Amino acid sequence: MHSCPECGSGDLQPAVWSLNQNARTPGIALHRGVVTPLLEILNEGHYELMQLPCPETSFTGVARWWFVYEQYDSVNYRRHCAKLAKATAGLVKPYSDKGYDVVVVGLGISPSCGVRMRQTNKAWRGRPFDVGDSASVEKGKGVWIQELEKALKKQGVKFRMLGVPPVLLYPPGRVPRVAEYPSVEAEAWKEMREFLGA
Amino acid sequence: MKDMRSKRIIVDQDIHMNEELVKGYMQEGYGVIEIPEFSAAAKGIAEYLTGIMADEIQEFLKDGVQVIFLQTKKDKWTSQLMSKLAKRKLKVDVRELP
Repeated sequence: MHSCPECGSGDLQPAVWSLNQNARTPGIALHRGVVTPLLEILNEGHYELMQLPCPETSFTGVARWWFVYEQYDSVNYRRHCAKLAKATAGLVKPYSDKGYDVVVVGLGISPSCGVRMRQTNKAWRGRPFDVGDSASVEKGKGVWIQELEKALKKQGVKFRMLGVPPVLLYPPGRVPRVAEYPSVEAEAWKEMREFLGA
Repeated sequence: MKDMRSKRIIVDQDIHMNEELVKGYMQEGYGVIEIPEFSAAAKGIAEYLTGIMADEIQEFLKDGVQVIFLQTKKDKWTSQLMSKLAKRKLKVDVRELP
C-alpha cells in the first residue's frame, strides 16, 4: 500500500539527488539533471514527491571533493543533519498521520544518503591525492539517513526506506560488486519497481 | 574527469501543476528544486527550510549554475525563498506563470 486512504495518492520522499543531479559531487553523476527513469517509476506508482534537502550542499557547497563516511561523520555535520532531519520529519508527519505510505529514497553508496552501504576509507585525509575510481564500501547507512531515520521515528512517522542500487547512479568504475545490490541495470530497475509497486 | 551535471536548475513549487512545462525543462537537462508545501507544518519549519534552500541555491550560483524560478502570483513559499535570496543580493532568473 502506498496510497493515501483519503485521496488515493501516494507519498514519497526522494532525496534531492533524484530530481537534481547538480547537487552531486563533480565526476560521479550519470544524469544531467533529473534521474528521469526513476521519476517515471514513481509516477507509475502514483507517488507524490517531496524533495529532501541536500545536507552536503548546504554544509560544504558544490565544489566539494569526493568524501567518505569517516569525513562526514563529524560532530558539526551530524548536528547539521539532525537539525535538518527534525524539520523534515515535521514536514512529513501530517502525511504520515493521514495514512500515507512514506518511502525514503536513498542514494547508492553515498556517505550521507546511503541506505544499505556507504563509502568508507580511513586513509582519506590530509594532502589531496588521486583516490582512483574504485569505491571501498561497508554495510551501514550514511550520516544524513541515520539522522533522518532517528527524527522520523521520534515523531512517530511510519516509513520504508529504499536504497537505489549504485549501478543506476554511479560511473561503472565506482560500482562495487557486492551481494547487497544488483550489479546489472535491468535487475536494479526490477528491484525498484517491485519495492515501489510500480 | 567527465562531469555530466548540466549546471542548470529550475525552482518550482508544484511539479504536477506545471507538469508539461517542467517536462520540457527536464528534457533539456535541467535539475529541479521543488519547494515543499509548508502549510500543514508546524511554525518555524518553513522559515528554517527555506533558509536552507537559500543556502543551497547560493552555493549553486557561486558555482556558476543557472537558476530559474517558476512563479505564479499565489506562490507564497516561492516568494518567501526569493525574498531571502534578494536580502543576500543574489540574482536569479524568474519566469512568471499564469
